[in-house]
Amino acid sequence: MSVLTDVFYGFVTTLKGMVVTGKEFFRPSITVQYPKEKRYIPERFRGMLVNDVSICIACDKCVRICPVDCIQCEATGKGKSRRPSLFTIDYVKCCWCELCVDVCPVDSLYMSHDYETVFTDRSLMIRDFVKDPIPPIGGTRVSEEATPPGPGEKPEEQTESGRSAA
Amino acid sequence: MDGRRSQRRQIQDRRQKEYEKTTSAVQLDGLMGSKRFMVIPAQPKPLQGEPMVVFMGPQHPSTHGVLQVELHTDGEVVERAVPRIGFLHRCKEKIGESVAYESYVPYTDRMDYLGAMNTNWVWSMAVEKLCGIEVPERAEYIRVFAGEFNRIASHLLFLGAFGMDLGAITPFLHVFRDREMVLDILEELSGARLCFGYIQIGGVHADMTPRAMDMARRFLKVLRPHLDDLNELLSYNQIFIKRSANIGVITAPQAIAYGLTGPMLRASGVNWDLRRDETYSLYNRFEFDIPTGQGLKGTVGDCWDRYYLRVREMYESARILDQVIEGFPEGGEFRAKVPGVLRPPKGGEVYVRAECPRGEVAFYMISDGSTKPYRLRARGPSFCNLSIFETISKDMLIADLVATLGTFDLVMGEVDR
Amino acid sequence: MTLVLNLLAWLPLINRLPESLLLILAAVICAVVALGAVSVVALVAVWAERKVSAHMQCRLGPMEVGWHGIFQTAADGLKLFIKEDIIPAMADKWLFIMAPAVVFSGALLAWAVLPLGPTWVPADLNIGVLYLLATSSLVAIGIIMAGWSAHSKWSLYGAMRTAAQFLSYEIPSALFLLPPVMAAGSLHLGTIVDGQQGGILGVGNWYVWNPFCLIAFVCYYVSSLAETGRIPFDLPESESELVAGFHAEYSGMRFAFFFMAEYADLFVVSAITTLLFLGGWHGPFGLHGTVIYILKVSAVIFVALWLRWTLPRLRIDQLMATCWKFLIPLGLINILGAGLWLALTGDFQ
Repeated sequence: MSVLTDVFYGFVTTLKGMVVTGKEFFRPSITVQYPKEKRYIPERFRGMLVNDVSICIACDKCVRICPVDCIQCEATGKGKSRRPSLFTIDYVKCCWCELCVDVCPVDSLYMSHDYETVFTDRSLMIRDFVKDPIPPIGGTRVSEEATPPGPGEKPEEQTESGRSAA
Repeated sequence: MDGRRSQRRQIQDRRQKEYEKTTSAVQLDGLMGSKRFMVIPAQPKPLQGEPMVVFMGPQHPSTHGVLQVELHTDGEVVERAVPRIGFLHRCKEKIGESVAYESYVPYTDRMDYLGAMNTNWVWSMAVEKLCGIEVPERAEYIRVFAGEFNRIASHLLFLGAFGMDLGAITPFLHVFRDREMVLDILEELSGARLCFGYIQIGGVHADMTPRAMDMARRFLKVLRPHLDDLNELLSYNQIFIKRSANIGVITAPQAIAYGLTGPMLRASGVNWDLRRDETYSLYNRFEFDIPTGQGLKGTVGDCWDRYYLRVREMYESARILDQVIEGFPEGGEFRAKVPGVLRPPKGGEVYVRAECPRGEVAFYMISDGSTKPYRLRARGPSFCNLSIFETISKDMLIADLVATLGTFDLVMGEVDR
Repeated sequence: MTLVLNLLAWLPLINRLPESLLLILAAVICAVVALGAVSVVALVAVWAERKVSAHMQCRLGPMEVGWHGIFQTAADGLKLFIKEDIIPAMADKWLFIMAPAVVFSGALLAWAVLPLGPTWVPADLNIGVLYLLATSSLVAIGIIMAGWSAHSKWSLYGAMRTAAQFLSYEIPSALFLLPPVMAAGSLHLGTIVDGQQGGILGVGNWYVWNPFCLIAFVCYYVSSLAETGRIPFDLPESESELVAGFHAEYSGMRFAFFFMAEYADLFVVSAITTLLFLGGWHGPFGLHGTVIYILKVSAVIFVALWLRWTLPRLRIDQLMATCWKFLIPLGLINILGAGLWLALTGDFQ
């Protein structure tokens, strides 16, 4: 007897489930076809960590707070003219926690919006920002899009706006 | 070629020897002096089977994460299932002894990576208790907001993964659509989508934005119809019910004895939730029910109960979030003033626990006056939940074993730390 | 087949060959055409499955290769073709090699009697239905060979479950195919389809409108889903439990054979459903022909895909219980009922 009730309910609930998937079949999909289309990047997005060494005063706060010790910094000069002579970020170790950005007193460290960086060799993953001051891994501090979409909505066609990797 | 052949030859030799042990060969004189052998089987023994030992290895679609299960099965029936863990051990507790308090936040993210906000929260509460830091009200509201959204995201993923374990592949994708919306909201707040590092000592990392509130309101409108659809598709489906009801029953005394917490405990009928019973943060201001397993489709504490409990918890989280958004304070600090380098007093000892999507996450810390803890202990609920697996897996079919393991909602990052 | 023979008889040089050789040549040509049809069907069915599943899951599916990914299956087939042929060291080599061939031939043999239109059938057997039921059993042997020869515990599990499933569901399949056969009075597929001609709006004479045949239709469809190993009876593959089950150790073209065999089988089963219950190539308002037939078969295949992406899978004992405790008794009762109806009224219409 229980087999019959099971089968009956099985039938009924199957049909109900098919109604749900059937409705879903006709709804538009939410796929963002990367790389032809790109998602909207919110303002606080954590892309690659970048340091603007022209502002940096080499105070070592970021070095000390980094949980994985990915920043190395050496200073020259004293007082107001203190500047870094060596500032490397090791992207192998960086875990994108943004603790260093918080603690930086002069806001020279920031996380760009770049998520498309590609390294072809591990030696390239240690970047010295003093030797290479203008970051080729572009990125803007603030997103430049006009109308951000709501949750789960597809973005408009995004412009590159300096966000591509070298 | 040769290696294969000799391997095959070895196996054949071994089989031949085993066969010869069970038989005895008698030499007879054949025609014209040829030797013929007659093989007489030894005293017939009853057929002895051996249980088949199979390893559902660390890489397996349905052992969520790197878990190895050593199965001793007799055909389809499992005699013994021993979970083997440790594949994701990252020495978090030892590392905690050499990383400063304020730097440890990313490590807590990656323990329970599906409920990162909640784990951050427990850690922050522990350090705040140790140092005597008080969190402003606005920060508490944001914490509840982030924690409950993370709970919804985590439970959504559980539903999808459990459906996949049982063969229903479509709900997984539907669930991810909703989860993407939640992660968009949390990304707007914190900048990351999985390991947030947002709830930090003293408050939260950054303030709430109007866009995040707006996205949250829109999401909550859409959540309940989507959950109803999911129920139609999966929860009330008769095949799903037959696969998960009356399977893997954990009774309430068993649950308490094995130290289960969270949805696994509540599904067995035990009405215990840290948000209400040992209330922390602002939970005493909000009105919400604590669902417990009622055995609607089978026994109390079976797989369906554990599954459906999490669905109901999502409805309750949505209720809490409605109240949070409504009562959100206008002004206030989002982070208390915390000294740059934290030095908790010597001899401090604290054990703080909170209700995370998987159960009770707790941190135990001993401070010795320096910038780093003397001892840090993290309690991952999935580790304790997994302890009951071997007991309840006796005399189950393999398919049921997979279903039961799915309802444990394991995150190996928590189990192994 | 007769078409091909007529064609050959018309060609200048070839029609001078002896009769037997012409027959063999015609048979070979028909087989090649059937093989081609199987490939095309597998191609389109796999693409349809991926697109249908994608749209039901709010995503897009293949979009890159060709218009909306229509050549994706060809690209995948090419990829499988150029893959390394791995035979596990401890595998039973000849069984391992033969298993995909047996499974594929079980699926392909059924195409010999599948008509594509009123006169297009490679072999016009007057025991068509019986032949179809018989050849679908070959698949079970192939699967056991595959599971056993791969020398892997997981494959063995899959093979054992699958053998039980396939052999059990043969019986309901046969039982539920009987009512239309009884009505038409013949096992010949063409006769059964012609028995469904005419009627109200041109569709009134379809056997499916009769209540006993409706039950038979639904239950045959369910049993045939179990025969081909589709969800909710997809234990043979059971991806999340046994990592592809009995064909876990197969890669490359051998795997492609299993894959194509599943879709060829699906087409066969949908075709049988259409021919026996849904009027075959007779459409509404007196239209008939191959296009209507293909449309109906596609609709039936669409429902199979729809079910696949909606339901979870049944456990082995539940599957067996459904078969032996429900479908077989129902099948016998259904035959009784259909027989009584026919005895009392003479025909289903």
